[in-house]
Amino acid sequence: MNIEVNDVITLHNNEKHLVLADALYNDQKYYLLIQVTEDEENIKDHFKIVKEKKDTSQTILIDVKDPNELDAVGKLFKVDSE
Amino acid sequence: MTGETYLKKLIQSELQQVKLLREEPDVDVRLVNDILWDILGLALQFDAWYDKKLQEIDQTEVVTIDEELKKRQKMVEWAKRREKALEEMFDRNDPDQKDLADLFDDIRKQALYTRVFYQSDTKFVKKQIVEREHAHKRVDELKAERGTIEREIEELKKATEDFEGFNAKLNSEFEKLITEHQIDSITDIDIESYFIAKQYLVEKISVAEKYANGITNSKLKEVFENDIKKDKEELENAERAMFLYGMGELLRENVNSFEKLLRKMNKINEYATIFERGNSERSSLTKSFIFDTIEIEKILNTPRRIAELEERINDIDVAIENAYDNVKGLREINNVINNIEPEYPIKEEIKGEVKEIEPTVITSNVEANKLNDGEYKVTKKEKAKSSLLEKIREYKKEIIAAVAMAPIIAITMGVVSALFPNNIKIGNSSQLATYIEQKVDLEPHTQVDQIDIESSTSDIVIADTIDKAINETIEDIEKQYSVTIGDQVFVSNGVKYYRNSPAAQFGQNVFETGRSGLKEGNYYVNKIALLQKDAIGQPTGHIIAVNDEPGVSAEELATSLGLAKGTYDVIMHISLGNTEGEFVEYVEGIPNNLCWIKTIDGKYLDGLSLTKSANEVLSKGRGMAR
Repeated sequence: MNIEVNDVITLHNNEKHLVLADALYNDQKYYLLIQVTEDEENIKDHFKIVKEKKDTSQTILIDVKDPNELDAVGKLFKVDSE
Repeated sequence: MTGETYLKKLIQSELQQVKLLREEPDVDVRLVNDILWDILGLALQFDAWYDKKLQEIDQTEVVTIDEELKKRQKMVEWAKRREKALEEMFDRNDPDQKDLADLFDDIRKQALYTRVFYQSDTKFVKKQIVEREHAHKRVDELKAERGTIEREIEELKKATEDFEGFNAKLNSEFEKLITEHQIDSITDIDIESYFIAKQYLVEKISVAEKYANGITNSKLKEVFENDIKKDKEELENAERAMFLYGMGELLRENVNSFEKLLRKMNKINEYATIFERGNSERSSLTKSFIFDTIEIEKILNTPRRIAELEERINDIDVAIENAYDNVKGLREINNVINNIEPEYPIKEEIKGEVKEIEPTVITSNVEANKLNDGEYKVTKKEKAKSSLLEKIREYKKEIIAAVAMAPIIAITMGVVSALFPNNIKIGNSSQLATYIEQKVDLEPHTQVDQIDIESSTSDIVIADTIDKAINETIEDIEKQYSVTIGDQVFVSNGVKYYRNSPAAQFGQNVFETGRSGLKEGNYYVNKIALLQKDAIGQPTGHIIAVNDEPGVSAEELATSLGLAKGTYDVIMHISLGNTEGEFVEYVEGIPNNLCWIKTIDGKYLDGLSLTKSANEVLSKGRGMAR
């Protein structure tokens, strides 16, 4: 599954997130997600920075928790030129 | 004068100099700053002096565990002394000193962690001494029991070997009884007479009793009753003489082994029981036979008893040999303290845990369990609605900038609520932007190595205010979520729990509150384990540290071990507390110790919530004793 900016993704726990930005760091894809309401009309003040889990047939996202990694990746997110 | 006193006085003198300079009408800012830098340098030397002192104590050679304990206690004492000295070094009410205190904050925290670390080491050594004392006591008890058993075996063997002696002693007692009761004076002719008399008297008494019942004349009745009484006494004497005569024959039966002696005694007892049936208590004569019989039975059971006792001696020998297994020697203690891996693997002790719970393994929801904590499976992807994109468009830039600046706050608390305590709603983008600009502009002021001593007062005030706000927010997050030994935590239904910490880290053999044995409710955190994660954040099952010191938080423990965030998982162990529901320190094997629960980075999330902080629980001062 190819995730792109401005996609709304639904996770296995039924949470829905809008992909605000993406970045590539150390050959790894990272996403900045903001949670959206069930009807996908409004945003919630809840963010996640996740990275794609490699070598899986499914699309698995992993919470980034390491502060150093967050600092490094946080600076790489850019506003898309829509 | 020691280095400690010298440096302290020097710092105080320089601080006084700064104060005096500040009182001058024209403050020489450059000179003040130069002195402040000097003071900072001296403070670092002061801290280093303590490091050296502690290192010196640490390197002292000791021979016994008791000496090791004294050494560790001395280190804790010095670590506390340093902590206090660093705490009191600068007066936070003085603006100059406050700046220095802030710059020195990390070193102060490090001193605190070091002290916690030393305390933990001291406790560990003390535990070995306590265990050694227990082992000493146990060994003494075992040795005493062994001695008693050996004596018993000896006596049993002696008794078995000496049948003749035992039999002779018994025969002598029997002869004494025969003489005492004049059994030899009863002849065969006497017995025949007693037998005839008995038959006659039984019949006479029976008839007389029947007749006496029908008599109304009281005088006549009294005469009859007196006659009956005399006849009964005569009957009793006749029966007793016949019994003694028979008993004499049984007592004098010759036997040549303990087995035959037991049969003889059984016959005597049986005879006595028949004669004395109806009597409320046995005579002293027959009572002694019972004791003799027991004694013989005991002797006959000797081989089995000796075998049992010898088996017990073997068990005792094994117990004595293993008594010190749980006590670590000096070298092992130092290996543990210095984190040197032993040559043999140490398995985590899980015996005795989850004793009161009869859990059932959950077999459903297998799919969900395949995901580790913090992993999400994307089940659906679609393009966002244009209305949503429209709403987010004008704030997107600010949000991304805020995330770039403080990603931890953004993902922990949300961008807006974290950065603006007044809960400014999304939409007030100008304030967000202003804040971000200020923060970015003032960023260098937060760097220790880039202090701009020429900055204007207003810049410093703004920088301080913003840094304070950020620091307080971060500290609030830390305080709110740091799992600490002694916390009372509410565990909701649906929380997963495990028999041991590696299982918790891997999510293997899962149980669930509300479905397995553990019920939803309040529990105490009485132990914290830190388990290693690999380079890509996956669990390894390797236990880095386990701590049961009340008041120690997962974060403190990790910092004292120099662990970087994200390199370990925090697994907490919970208990019910004592019978009054109060916190008690972890003691292995007590039934109130329950199970392990994995936390999310040492925070109370996902079904776990803090009911009472360890600070509150432990300040009550109750339930702390082991």
